[in-house]
Amino acid sequence: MCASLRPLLLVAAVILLLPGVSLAQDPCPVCNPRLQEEEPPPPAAPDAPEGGGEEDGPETEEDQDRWLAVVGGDVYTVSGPVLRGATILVKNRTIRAIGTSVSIPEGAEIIPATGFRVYPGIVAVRSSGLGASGRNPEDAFNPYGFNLVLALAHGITTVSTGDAAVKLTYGSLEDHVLKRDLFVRVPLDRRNPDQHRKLRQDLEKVREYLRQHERYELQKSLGDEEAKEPDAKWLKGSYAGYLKLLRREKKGYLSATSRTEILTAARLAADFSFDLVIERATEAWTIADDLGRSGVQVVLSVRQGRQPAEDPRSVQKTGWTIENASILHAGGVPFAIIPETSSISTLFGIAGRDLLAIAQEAGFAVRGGLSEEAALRSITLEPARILGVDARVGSLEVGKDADIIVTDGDLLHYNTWVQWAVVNGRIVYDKEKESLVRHIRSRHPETAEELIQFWPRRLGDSPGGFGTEKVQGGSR
Amino acid sequence: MFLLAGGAFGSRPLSAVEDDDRFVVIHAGRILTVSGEEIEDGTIVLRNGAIDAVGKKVEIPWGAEIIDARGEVVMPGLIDPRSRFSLPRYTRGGVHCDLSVVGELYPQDHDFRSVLEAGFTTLGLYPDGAGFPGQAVAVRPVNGGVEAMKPEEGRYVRVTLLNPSSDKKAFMDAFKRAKQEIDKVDKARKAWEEKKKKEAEEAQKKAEEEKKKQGEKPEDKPAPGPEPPPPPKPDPGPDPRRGGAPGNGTEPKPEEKKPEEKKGEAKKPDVFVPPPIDPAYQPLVDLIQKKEGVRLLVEIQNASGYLHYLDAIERIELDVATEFYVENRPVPANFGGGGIDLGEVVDKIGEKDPLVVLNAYVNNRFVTQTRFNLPAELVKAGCRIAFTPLFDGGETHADLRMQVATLVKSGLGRKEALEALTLRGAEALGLESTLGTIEKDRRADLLFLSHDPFDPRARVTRVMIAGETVSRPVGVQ
Repeated sequence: MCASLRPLLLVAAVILLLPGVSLAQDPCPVCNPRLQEEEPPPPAAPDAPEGGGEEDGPETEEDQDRWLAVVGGDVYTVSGPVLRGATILVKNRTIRAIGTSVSIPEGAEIIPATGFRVYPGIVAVRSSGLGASGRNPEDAFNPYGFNLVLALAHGITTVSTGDAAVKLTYGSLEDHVLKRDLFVRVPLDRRNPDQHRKLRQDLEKVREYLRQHERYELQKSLGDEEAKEPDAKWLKGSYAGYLKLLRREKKGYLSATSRTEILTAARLAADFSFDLVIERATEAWTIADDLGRSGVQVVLSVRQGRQPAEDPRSVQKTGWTIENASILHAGGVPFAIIPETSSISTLFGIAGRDLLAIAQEAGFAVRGGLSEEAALRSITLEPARILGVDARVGSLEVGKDADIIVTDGDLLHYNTWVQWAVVNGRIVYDKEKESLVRHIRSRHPETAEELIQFWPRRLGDSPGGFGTEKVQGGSR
Repeated sequence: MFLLAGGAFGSRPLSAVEDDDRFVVIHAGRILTVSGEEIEDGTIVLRNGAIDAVGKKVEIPWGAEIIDARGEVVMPGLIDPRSRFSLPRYTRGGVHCDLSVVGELYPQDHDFRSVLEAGFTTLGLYPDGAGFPGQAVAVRPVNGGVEAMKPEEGRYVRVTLLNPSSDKKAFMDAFKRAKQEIDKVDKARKAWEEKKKKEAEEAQKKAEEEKKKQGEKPEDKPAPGPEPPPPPKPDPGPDPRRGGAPGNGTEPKPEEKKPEEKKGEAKKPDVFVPPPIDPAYQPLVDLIQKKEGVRLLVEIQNASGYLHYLDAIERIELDVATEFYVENRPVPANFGGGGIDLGEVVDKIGEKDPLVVLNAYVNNRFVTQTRFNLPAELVKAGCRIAFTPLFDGGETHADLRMQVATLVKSGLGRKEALEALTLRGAEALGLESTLGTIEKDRRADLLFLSHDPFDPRARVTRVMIAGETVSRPVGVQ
C-alpha cells in the first residue's frame, strides 16, 4: 500500500471519531498525537515542570528552557504527510508541536522558513572521517571539526562512525553520542567457504548454550536445587558478540554482493533467528521478494562504480541495475541509501560520490523508479531504523529530537542548498554565516554583501564572525 | 641615620635604614611600571636588590650608586613562563607530578647570554613529555650553575590535553586516583579514631570495674585514667620529595605504613600517622584540597580540546582555576589550510577569567584566509594573557618583543601587551607578588631599553636581576 494513503485514512478516522476536535488545531495524530494536550505555555510565563511521560531532554545549562521555532516552511515529516506552511516548535532538545497554528512563546529563536522546505536531518548509516571512531566516541568527537561543517552543509545530522551513532552537534559536547555498540560483524565471505562452516558451528554452540541457560533458568524457577549453570567461560571475544546477536540485543552486519551470498546470509539469519543488515547487496533486486519476507535490512548504494558484470551464461538475472532500490521497495525490503564512498573527505574521494552526495544518491534511486517519498525515507527514517535510533531521529514527530534541516528546494535535487541545520534544538549551521558558502546564491540577494576581492584580507575587513572589528589603536 | 635637611622632596619618606644597606638609584627617561602609570623622567630607588621607591620625585639616600638612564626606558624584566631553553628533548608519559625540571639542570650546561641580552630576567623551564610530566620551575637565566639560577621560586604542574581521544581519559584518571589517595587517608584516619574511641571506652570500663572490685561506688565521672588522646597531627605531606631536590626520574614506591606500627614505641605520644600519599599524585591532591601555591597549566591545541577539558572537569567534579597554554603557530596569510579555531570558544574561555599563555602571532581563522588576532580576542573576552616564544632556539627570545609590537599594531592594547610580557608571566609561575612590575617591595629585575619596547629601534642596554647588572650588551651607545 502506498505510504501516503495511510495517514489520510488515519486523519479521516480521527475526524469521524472525535467530533469535538476543533479544526483550527491540526488533527493529524502523527504530528500531534496528544490532541487534548495543552498548548505551549503563554508567552513570558515560567515553564512549570511537566507531569508524566514527556521527555524534554537533558537539563539545560541555563535555568530557562530554550525555545526554537521553524516557521512557515513546507514540512516533510517523512513518517507522516507533508504540511505546507507549517511551524515546528522545539523546546530544548525535542519537538513539541508541528502544525499550522502553533503558538510560539516569547523569546523563542525563529527560523523564517517561509518559501523553504523543512526536512528531518539526514542519517548516514555509515561514514568515515568524522572522528569519534574507536573505543571512546564521547571523548574522540571534535565538535569544531571542519568535516562537521561540510556534513551539516549537506544536510547530514546523524552519522554512524564505526561502532557508534553520533549526532553532529557542532560547537557542543552535549548529547552527541546516540547509541554505542551497534552491530556485530558476521564473517561471511564467499572466498572462504570454511569460514561459513565455522560460523555455523560457532553459532550453533552459542545457541546450545542459550538453550542450556534457558533450561537452567526454568529449573531454578521450579525449585530444582541441582540445576547447574552452564559454563560461560568460553563466551569471550567473537562468541560474546554472537551471544548478543542470538539474543537480538545487537544486529548482525555483513557485506554481500551476489545473489548467492545474499541468500546465504539471509538463510543464516533465518536459521538462527537474528537481525541482519546486509551492505552493498548489488544483486538483491533479483531476490527482492525472498529478502522482503526474510526481514533482512539492506544498506545499498545506488550508483556502483565496480559493478559485478552481468553473467551471460547465467539463467538467473545477475549484475547491477539502477532499479535495485525501486525493486527492493516493491518487494518490501527496508533499505537505507549511502554513497559508495562513505568518506566525508572530498579531497580524496571522488567529488560527487562521497558522503556529501548522499541526497543525490537517493535522487538516483528515484531515477531508477523509486518513489520520492521512499527515497527521502531511505536517507532519514530507514537508516535510523537500521541503527536502532529511530525513537529519537529520522523523522519530524512530536517527541523526537529536533534534528531539522531547512532547504531552498527539493532535498534530492543537486541544486539545492541547506540553509539552516538544527541539531538537538540548536542552530548549528546557517548558510548566511558560513564563510565558505555564504557568497553563493545568497538567501537575500538584495542585501547580500559585496564580495571582497583581495587576498589576504586585512584584520577588520571581513564582515561577520569574530575578530572583525576595525583595528583599534592604543589600550582599551 | 640619614636625614635630609629641608625635606623639600618628601613624596616618599625613607624607611628605617641600616648601615649596610646597599642603595642603587636609577634616573630613567621613562619608567613603565606595568602596575600603574608610565612615569616620565622618574627615579627608582633600589635597596638590597628590591625596589624601595618609584616616582617622579623620590628621596635619594646618600651614598647610593647612581645609574644614569635618562635617555632610556626602564621596564620590568621580561618573563617567559614556558621554555625548554638549553634543555634536550625527550618523551615521557604517565603521571609524574613529583618530578621537577630541576632534575634536568646540570651545572655547566647552560649559557643564558642570548636570553639575557633579549631582556628576559626569568625563565619558566618546563619538563618535556606528555600527560603529567612534572613541574615547571622559574629560574634566573644567569650563567654560573644551578645555584645561581635559584630554581626554588615559582612553579606549576604541567598537563597536556592536546588530543582528547587519548589524553582526556588519562587526565580524568589521574584526578580520580588523587581522590582515591585522599579517601585512603581519610579512611585510615577514621579507622584510627574509631580505634582510639574504643580503647578509651575499654580503659574507662576497666577503671570502673577496678573501682567496683575495691568496693567503692562507681563514680559518675570517669577515673583520671587515660588521658584524652592528643589531637591528630595535620598531614605532614612529603614536601621535600615534591621536587625541591634534583631527582633523576626514579619514582619512589608508595609504602603502606600502618598506624599500628607506631604503637610499638610506647614513649612517643600516640598520634595518627597517615599512610603516605603517592608522591606522583601529591600535587594533584593539593590542588583538589585547594592548597595555596599549587598551579596547573593545561596545554590544549584547539576549541575541541577546550570543550573536552570543560567536560572532563565536570565529570570529575574538579573546581580549580587552571592556566592554559595554546600554541598559536603562525600561518602565512595566503595559506588556506591550518590556522587556529580557538576563536570559536574565546567567549567561553573568557567566562572563567583564566590565564592563557600563548605565542605572539596573528593567525588565520581556521580554514579561511581571514586574519585573526587571537591574543587580542582573548583579552576582549576577559582573559589574561602571557607570551612565550614559539621555539627555544637562540634568537627567538630576542624576536618576541617585536612580535608583540606587531600584535599591538593589530589591535592588542598596549597595557595588556606590556603586562603579557611581564606581570602575567610572573602570575603563571605564581610569582606575581615578587616580580613583574616596578613597585615597592618587588625584586629589582629591570630591563633598560634605548627606546620604547615596541619601537623597532629599541635595543637592550642593560639587564638587572635583583639589583645586580647581569648584562650590558656591547655595541650600544
